[in-house]
Amino acid sequence: MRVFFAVLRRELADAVTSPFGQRLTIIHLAVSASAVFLGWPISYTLGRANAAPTLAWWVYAEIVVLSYLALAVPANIFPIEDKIRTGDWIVYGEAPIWAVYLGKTLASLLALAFWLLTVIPIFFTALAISPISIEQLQFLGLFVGLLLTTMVQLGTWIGVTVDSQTFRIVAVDVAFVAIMLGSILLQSLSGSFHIPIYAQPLEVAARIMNITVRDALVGSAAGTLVGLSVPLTTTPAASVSDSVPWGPLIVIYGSLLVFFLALSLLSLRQWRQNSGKEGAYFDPR
Amino acid sequence: MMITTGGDGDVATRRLFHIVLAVFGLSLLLIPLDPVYSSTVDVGGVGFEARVGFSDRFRPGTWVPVWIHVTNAGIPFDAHIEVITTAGNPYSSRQTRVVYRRPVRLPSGTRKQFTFNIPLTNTAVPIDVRLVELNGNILSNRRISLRESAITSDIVLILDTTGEKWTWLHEVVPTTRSFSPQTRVYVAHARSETDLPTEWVAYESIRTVILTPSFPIASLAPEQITALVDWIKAGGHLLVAGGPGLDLVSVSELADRLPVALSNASRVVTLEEMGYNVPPLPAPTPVLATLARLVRGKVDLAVDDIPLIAHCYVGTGRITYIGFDLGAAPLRTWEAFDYFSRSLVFPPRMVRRSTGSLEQQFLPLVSAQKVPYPRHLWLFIFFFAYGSAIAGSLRLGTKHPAGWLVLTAAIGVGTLFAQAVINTQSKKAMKAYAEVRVSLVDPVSTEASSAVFAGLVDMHGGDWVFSRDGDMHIAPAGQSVYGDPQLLVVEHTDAESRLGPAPPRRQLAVTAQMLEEIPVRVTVTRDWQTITVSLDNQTSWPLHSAFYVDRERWAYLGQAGPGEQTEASFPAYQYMVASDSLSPKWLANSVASIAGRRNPRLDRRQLDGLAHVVHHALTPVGQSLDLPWGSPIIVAMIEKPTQPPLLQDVWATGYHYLVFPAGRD
Repeated sequence: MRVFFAVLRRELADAVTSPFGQRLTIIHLAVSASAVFLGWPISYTLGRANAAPTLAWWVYAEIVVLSYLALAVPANIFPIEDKIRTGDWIVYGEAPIWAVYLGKTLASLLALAFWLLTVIPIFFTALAISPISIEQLQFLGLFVGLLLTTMVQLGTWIGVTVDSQTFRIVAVDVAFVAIMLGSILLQSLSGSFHIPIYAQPLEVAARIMNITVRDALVGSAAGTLVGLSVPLTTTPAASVSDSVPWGPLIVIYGSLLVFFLALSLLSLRQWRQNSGKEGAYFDPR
Repeated sequence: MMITTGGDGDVATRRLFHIVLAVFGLSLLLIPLDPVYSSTVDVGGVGFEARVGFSDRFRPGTWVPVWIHVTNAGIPFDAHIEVITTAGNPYSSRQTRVVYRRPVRLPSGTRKQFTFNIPLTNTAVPIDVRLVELNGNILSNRRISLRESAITSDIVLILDTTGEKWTWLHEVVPTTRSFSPQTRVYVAHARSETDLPTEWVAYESIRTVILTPSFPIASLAPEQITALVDWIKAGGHLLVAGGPGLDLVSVSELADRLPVALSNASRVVTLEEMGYNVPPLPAPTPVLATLARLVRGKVDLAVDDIPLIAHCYVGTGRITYIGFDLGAAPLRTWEAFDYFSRSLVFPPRMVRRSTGSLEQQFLPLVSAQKVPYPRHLWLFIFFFAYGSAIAGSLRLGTKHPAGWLVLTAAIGVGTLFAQAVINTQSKKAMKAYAEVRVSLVDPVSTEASSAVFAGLVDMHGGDWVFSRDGDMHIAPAGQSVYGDPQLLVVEHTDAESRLGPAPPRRQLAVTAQMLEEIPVRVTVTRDWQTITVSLDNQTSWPLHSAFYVDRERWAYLGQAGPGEQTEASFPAYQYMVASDSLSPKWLANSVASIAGRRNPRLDRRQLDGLAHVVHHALTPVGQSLDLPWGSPIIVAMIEKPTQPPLLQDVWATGYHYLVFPAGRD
């Protein structure tokens, strides 16, 4: 347990309080504030549907930045001084696998939570101009939590498996693009089978917020009105759970999460086995 | 343990920025992914049929009923019925797709009829009527072409179970007086109660409803009777083609508004003269007439003190009563029969209301209103201050634990500021006041009644919400003179209408049809060469810069405070010019110019708005207008009304207008 806390404290300190970690905090803050500032409308014309895209921009910026950080932080791609790599805890610190794994995962998640915490006022600012319901916020939190946890697992596996820092950077970039674009491919293919699977993070977020990606990015377009005619007939608002296919979503991200968790643990076990062999460890940096 | 060597932080920072930018760029690839996957599934046991209008006919630019019949012989299920129309300029690529949706429950063995009342202006694009499962699968789809159904002829709806009565109105009338050879009338028949709508707006396509004795009027649902009466009040014309067999005893809501009180008895009377403006009958003609007694209105034809033809006004509409069978064989051979019967079906001096004109003429005013959000400068200052606080506390945190407390405090203060200041200001910014008042003057009086679109729009949960009364009908604007569909709305509930953006949101349009009295009395009199216009302002609002405007002349009436009267006289010939060459734009600019000279307090924006109002009020945009080109109107500017619904904290645009069509005595 002591090792677990040591790993947790060290990883958290590297991610948040190191000079580069502080820089990440400020960069994240700047991106978040920029999204809200640029998405903040100047005025609206009553005659046109001009939904303020502010919250959508903020959510998109957060998903993009935090997803990348969720990969990058546990993958150890940032130039942080005195950084202890995952395998080093096992090789040199003789730490148990579970303590290293849990400490690293939890530290990454806590770092992400910290970065989210620092932009709470910006979130409330965006929410003020384009409010959404509590239910939508809850679902958004649920999905982002699932996404980031999966990304952290993938990042951990990259950090454990890939030795060279350059290759880790490449691996993180490729993994990030693969998740973002692969989900688009999955979505497109699923359409031809008449089983829509909306797994793309930005698409899922848009559906939870009840907007379209196009609307969020390029402003409101001429589109569809709902429930107009029938005066004096109450049309229940569509539930978020209706527009988001939670089942396939949980299966896809859940299976990815479990898959990379297993891979990470296997890789860590390999480190444990190799650590017993003299001269087996090679640090390419 | 020293394993990692430090990298170049600046390079890494730039790299992170590049990655973020690249991902934003990649995310643009998502744009084409919008279309929702949907499929049409044939489901056994489900019958789905739809038709539009009355006998498949309607007038474009009006509210039209879409009748949908659904049967389910299979397993029970819940679904939505959707009617999808296209609004906007048919020649524009930017058209608004409008989905009217209603949830339905379809148990086994069910057989239901649903009616959607929708405004149809764009007849170039067919409408789709769909039965859609809750998961989005389309169970059935019917595409209805509107090209054949949309007609500009007058539509007369005959309530007749046989479907054979009054069919002579179909025929082209080549020679009769007052009707051009091209005059065509389309006759639609409602054979049972299921052919009648339950909301008055659905009758908007109809010029006259003719009730025949064969129709089981007593079997109509109360809301169907109310819809019929409301339509009459709003300018409709009901012709009760009485005669023996007409039973209105159990339909008191209608019977109480007839010009005559009916009795059950009838007797044969002999007709010779049918009125001073038509030739006499070739021979005395006996007809079986219902005994009746005049209770209101005016008798147009009576024999032996029995009113055979009478009429009365109900609201701005009219009810005409005929106490015998006009289509009886002896009368059909009368040379003036066609003219006479048409003059009864289409009485003169009817005030016709049309929601279409509201959309087409006055919505641009509403849609042009801009409401500012709080300025970016304050947002920038807040973000900059907050970012500085976070950066400072982080730096402090590396040296002293108190830095983390400062960071926590910065987040707390920032959140409080966002909630207490930004949230409050944003809520104010997300209110808007929209007002267009269109008043109509009954030709027999000088008192203005008005159709109103006015109210606060507020944002709730991402939707603009316009509080409304239950009898207010709001629809997307149809064909705007500017090409793009205007304004908004979107979801009706019992107490409110959701204005866009709403899921799945977008361009919306609002028009409203709520009748309300505005206590402004306008009198226009002409004494040979002098025209006198007086305006009696009984509102609580001071009227500024009131103008009398028609196609040929305008006159400045000046100010009128609450309870005050203003009057202006001018020679009728003074402003007379060649009427065809005087454009609405010229008049509008003239009015704005005069207003600016007479009232220096008016700023440029208000004068532009005034010109805008006059221009739109005078511009011909369609056939079914309340205000045909050249109709005299009064335009007056009012300050922010202090009465509800305008509240103190509303960021309104600062100018509002009253527009009264001015009747002449």
